[in-house]
Amino acid sequence: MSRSISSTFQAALNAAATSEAVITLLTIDHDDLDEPMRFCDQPTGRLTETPLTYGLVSNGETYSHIPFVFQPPQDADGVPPQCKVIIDNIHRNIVEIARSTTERATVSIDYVLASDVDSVEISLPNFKATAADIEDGAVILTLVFDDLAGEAFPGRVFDPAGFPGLF
Amino acid sequence: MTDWPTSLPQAFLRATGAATIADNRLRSSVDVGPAKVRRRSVVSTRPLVGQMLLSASQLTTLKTFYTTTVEEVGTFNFPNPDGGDDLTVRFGGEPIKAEYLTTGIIRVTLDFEVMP
Repeated sequence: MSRSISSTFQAALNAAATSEAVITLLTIDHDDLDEPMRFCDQPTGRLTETPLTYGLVSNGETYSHIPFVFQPPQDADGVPPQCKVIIDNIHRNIVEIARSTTERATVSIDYVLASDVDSVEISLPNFKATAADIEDGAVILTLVFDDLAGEAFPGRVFDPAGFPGLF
Repeated sequence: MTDWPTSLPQAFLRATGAATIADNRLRSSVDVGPAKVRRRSVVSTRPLVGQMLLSASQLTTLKTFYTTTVEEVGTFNFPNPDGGDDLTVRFGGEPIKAEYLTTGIIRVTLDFEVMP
């Protein structure tokens, strides 16, 4: 399926040399969070002087810089499409939430250009985090989209536990 | 933000300071034609290295500044060798190297990272 991107992005992709940098924005939302957590993999400037923090503001939302890597899904037969986000484990609340709840977090990925952070080039919204592996120095989120394959079908079945008279 | 101690020299020894511009480029080789180059990130740190001559008491002040004031990882304001506004720096990979030249005179090599 083709994806519509801006002419600036298209030109940067095709150029032999470009000063453009593509920034990945990560938004994690969960019922246990007062507000969504927003991160960027590259900062464009300082957010605060004391303490010294880096990040950017895109469409009115503040994204803090933490190092993370987004691995897009592999196109392989027989393998369900899964994305992974590897986040440097520097926020304790990520670990605490991951360990304290069975509810899935909603994760969104947006790509913006450094020259225009308010224009989202590619948006990958509403992933569900199905697993959060916590390792030394990193939290690895496994993301799936529309995990209908994991849903039981049909919703009800005639089994001895529910309908003993049939057996 | 914390400032570089005023009791320590406010500049590196002449001809000992070295400020380099870090390579912030991603370079991809192609089969034919020039390599594709783009910026790795919009902002990046750059190294700043220099030497100072300190007395024993100044060396103690420096060590206290490193271990207690900035707690080894904090950022602080350092006078800009090029003039102008102070630089925001933090200690780099080899933060402090002291050479005892003679009694009471220590040559210290400082390794800073200039923050964007």
